[in-house]
Amino acid sequence: MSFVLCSLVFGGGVIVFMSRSPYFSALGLVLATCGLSGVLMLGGAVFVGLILFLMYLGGMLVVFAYSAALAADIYPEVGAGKGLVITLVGAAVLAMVVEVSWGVVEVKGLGVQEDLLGISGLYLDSWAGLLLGAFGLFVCLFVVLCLVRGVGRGALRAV
Amino acid sequence: MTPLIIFFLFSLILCIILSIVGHRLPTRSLNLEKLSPYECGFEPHTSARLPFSLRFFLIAILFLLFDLEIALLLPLPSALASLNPTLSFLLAFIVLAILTLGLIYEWVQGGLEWAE
Amino acid sequence: MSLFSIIISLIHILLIIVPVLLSVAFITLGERKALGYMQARKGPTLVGPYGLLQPIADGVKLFIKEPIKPSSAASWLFLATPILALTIALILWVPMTFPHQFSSINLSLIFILTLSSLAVYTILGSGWASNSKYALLGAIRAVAQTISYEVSLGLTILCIIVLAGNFNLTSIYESQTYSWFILTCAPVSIMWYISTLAETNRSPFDLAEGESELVSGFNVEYAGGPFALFFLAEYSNIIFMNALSTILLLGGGSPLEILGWPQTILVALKITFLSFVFLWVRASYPRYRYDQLMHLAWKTFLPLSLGLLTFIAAIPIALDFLPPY
Repeated sequence: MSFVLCSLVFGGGVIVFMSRSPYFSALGLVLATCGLSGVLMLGGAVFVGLILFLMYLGGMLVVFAYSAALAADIYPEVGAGKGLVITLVGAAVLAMVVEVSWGVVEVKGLGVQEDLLGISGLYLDSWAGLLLGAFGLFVCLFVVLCLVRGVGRGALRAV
Repeated sequence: MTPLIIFFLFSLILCIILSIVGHRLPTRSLNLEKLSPYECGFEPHTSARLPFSLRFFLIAILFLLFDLEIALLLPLPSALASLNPTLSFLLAFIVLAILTLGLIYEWVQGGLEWAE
Repeated sequence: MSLFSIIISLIHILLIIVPVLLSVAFITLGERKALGYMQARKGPTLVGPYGLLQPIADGVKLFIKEPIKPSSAASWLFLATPILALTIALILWVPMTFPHQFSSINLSLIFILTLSSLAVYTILGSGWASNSKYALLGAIRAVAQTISYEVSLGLTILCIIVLAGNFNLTSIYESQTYSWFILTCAPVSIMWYISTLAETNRSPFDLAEGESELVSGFNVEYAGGPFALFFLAEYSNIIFMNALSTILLLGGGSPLEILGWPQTILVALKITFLSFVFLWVRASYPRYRYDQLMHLAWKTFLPLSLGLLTFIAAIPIALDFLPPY
């Protein structure tokens, strides 16, 4: 199982630096994040894994892919690494089938959540980290707005 | 976890089979007119890609920030059930207040206006 | 894992997926019938008794139609996105509460949030890979709408989780034994329902496929089988969202929960009612304007849900009790 996930990470990485258009490299990052949060979940940190998945895939990479789709790009192509990626993903699927049918997979179910109890320490002892995070978000909001303020007055402008 | 993986694989294979059926079953007769992108009966005369829209970009960034805020708030229920719920609530309140301030600033500065 | 248990779980999977696909087929018929009667006509009547076989005829027709891939489309992404859409829509049903639960995921609500946030990729991918102006515009609109409402969906889910004290759908179901969450947090429930309308791109928020300007939105280049996959995924998501609202807000089979099968039938009736309201809304309301849509998401729902979250999180502490009652 960890082989499957690691090959996902590796295949994603290959797509990222082989592709010639940003759209496909965003897709490669998607694959890599799938693999990484899968590794976390295998290790038992299900909450952290799911949150990582939610934030990176549902948040950051959506924004990245969206901006890449907004940007003009006439002839998108995957570029060189295609064959390698297809081989890796194929090997991953094969390994998954083999592991499932031979019963090598032996992980804790998605029911264990010690990590959730640990993370709730963010609201108890390590409150400074929480407040730092919230303040960071506030500063980000401020900076983004200064960059694109209004339509014509900001530093970034629609051309 | 294994039944979950079987579920994933099964639904993926089912969808691939459906897609293959949809592509192989019908007879196909393709020509140039049919294969050109759809554009109100005209010849598509410019690239289909658009100029960059700052509005949509701003929406995406705002979504990202508030999504991260939700991620910060997700451990709140288990924290409220733990030793010191008042402290947890106070912290959650401060986080929410900071982001509400950000939202108010955004609103006042006109970052949320669509029609001008 | 033995062969026997694999076969058992395959049968279990089939027992989930086949009814979902069947109900998708019949909700399309129900939609056409309901819209028909609301406009004083009859809807489909010719295929089978009362038109009951119409969805099967539609499905067969879609799968023998010629699928077209535009010459300028990005090939494998164009083919992969419908498959991905239906796969995600089916996997979403894993953590749903059934009398015989398929899996015991403890963080089922986060699982659902994560998977439904992946659905954005299928819209974006299909619209972008089509390499057509209408498709790209429709996809960008749909994604902006979906992600805007995802924020308020997340915050409203958080309100309910704070009251239920757990991410598990079964325990949320059980914490509504005495009072449904639609009663204890009514404004949140209304926001949740409107956000599910917007999240599934239903009218009055169906700007992604505004016929008058965008023809059909992100799936305009799809025909035949691949289009059928998108269609199945969309309606499966609608039924799933209503099932989720039933469990989160309407208490599942709440008044009958001692009984076995009447409880299941009650859940099904609630889901059907909520889906019917989706169709009813479609028959009644005109489409929103895009700036009104964004106004509703960012200037009404977001501040309101931020405030309500603080209020609802304060209730258990003010009354000095803890969520798992």
